[in-house]
Amino acid sequence: MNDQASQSVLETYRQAPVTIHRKLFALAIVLALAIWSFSAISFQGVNQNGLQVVFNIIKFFFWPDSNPNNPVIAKYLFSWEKFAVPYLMYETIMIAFIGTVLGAVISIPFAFLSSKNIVGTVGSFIGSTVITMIRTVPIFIWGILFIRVQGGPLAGVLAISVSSIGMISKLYIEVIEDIDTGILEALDSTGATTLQKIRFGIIPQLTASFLSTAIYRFEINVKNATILGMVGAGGIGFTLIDALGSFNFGIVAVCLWGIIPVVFLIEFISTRLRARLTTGE
Amino acid sequence: MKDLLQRLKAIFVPVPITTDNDTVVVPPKPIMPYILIGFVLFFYFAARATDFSIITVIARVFNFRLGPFGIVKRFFPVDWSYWPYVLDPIFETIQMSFLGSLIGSLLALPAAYFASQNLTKNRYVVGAVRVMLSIFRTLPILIYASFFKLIFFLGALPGTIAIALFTFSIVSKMLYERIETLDLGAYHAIQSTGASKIKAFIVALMPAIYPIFYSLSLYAFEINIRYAAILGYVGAGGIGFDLDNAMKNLPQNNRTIVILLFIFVTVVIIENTSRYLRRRLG
Repeated sequence: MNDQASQSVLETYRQAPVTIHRKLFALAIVLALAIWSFSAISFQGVNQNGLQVVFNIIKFFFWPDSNPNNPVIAKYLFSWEKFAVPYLMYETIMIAFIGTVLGAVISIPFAFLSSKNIVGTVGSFIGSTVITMIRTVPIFIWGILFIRVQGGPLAGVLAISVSSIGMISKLYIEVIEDIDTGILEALDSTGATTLQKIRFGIIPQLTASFLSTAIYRFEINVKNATILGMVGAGGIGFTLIDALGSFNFGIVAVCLWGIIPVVFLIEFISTRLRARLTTGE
Repeated sequence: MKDLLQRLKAIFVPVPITTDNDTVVVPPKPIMPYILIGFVLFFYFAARATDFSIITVIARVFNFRLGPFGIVKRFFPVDWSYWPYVLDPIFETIQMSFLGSLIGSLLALPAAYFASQNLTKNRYVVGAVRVMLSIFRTLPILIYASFFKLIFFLGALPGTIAIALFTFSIVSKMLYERIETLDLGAYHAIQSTGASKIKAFIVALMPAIYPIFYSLSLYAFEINIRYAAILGYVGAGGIGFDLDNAMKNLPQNNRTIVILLFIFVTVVIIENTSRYLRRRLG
């Protein structure tokens, strides 16, 4: 009995598909690509003061006031001046907030005009190509373009809203294409008007997913807003990159002290909110 | 007037409904109005902090001489003869993101092991690894790249390390979340036959983890290619450097479209290949 059972196990084992050559093939491709990629990197050793930089970054990160001639904590961390970290982080979050709201609203028409079940295959192809184009343009390009509208935080807001369209409408489209049309037929049978059908048949199916997408994008946008300052589009990025460029690690460290907890907290809240939205709270 | 107040009140305090058999039902207290009020207030403060005004935006965006379209106009006529010079930096961008994704994903495997509650029983190890991963995740690639640029020489190396670090942090997170949903029955069964933990892990869990791992690494590669395109702005290699130059220097403005088009094509090709492979992996 036992013997028979083990025989059948062995038999099944023998019949298992042989996939080793496919695995080897995949491995060979990855290795080849890795070797090719290594050719791009020329390791010329560490900068002459590279080790000093590492040491300083770590030292100042744990204690930004390490340079007694230039105390930064009191001046940059605990002050509500416009050049200090709290205000810059406030500005960064606000840029991300308005940017996300605008992006999420502009994405709605984009998404409806690119959904297969609304505009057909050709329309959807054109729409999604436009969306992909918006998505692949690096965020700095949008920043530089919108500085022409007004330098500072407003340029950041516009850059973030436009660059959000790509991802947000892509996720919206998936939701719209999944709409359950059975509900609309059911509403039809009760004699609902078109407006009522939209209000009770379509909007409830979309809100939770749309909101959850926007919240997720907000999380990404806060991170994006922290770097937009590098092209002059507001937020903490300019102070950070300026301090790094002049080796002022104390200020770099207080900027990081501002960014890390804020992004951490926002990610935490966003994850919680989205979990509640998907469970239907 | 009284009617209006009644209606306003009805938004916040639900009106009890009497049904046909005289039972009174009180609808649940609505939270939507409060959320909306909070949202409007937040929006107001955000608009003040960012000088946001819809009138300014519309007026300046459609100012075709000085607004954004004034720059876009300078992109034309497109200098198509520039395309051979785009190839090298584009390949460098791909190489950076490939290598960064590969190294980062490989490092993510052990980190995910120590961060998943069902595999690592020591709560403190799990907690410490998770906090470390979350902290790594908070900083954008570009900030890492600007650090590594100071340590190493300019070029693809700092960019690749930054991408690897970022990939490591996101792939570990997604991986441990997926590992925690795995069924560990087979793992424990094999351990109970006397196999060592490592053997049980290889035989029972690896076949389940591999497809997830491949799929997540491909996904990371897909994202990284777009991040890699901007690393050049801080001098960390890739096409961003050329893009920055093309935007900054007036006579080179007409190269911008060529570069953007190449980025677009690269991203589309890589995303579609990666998506095809990920579908195959299930």
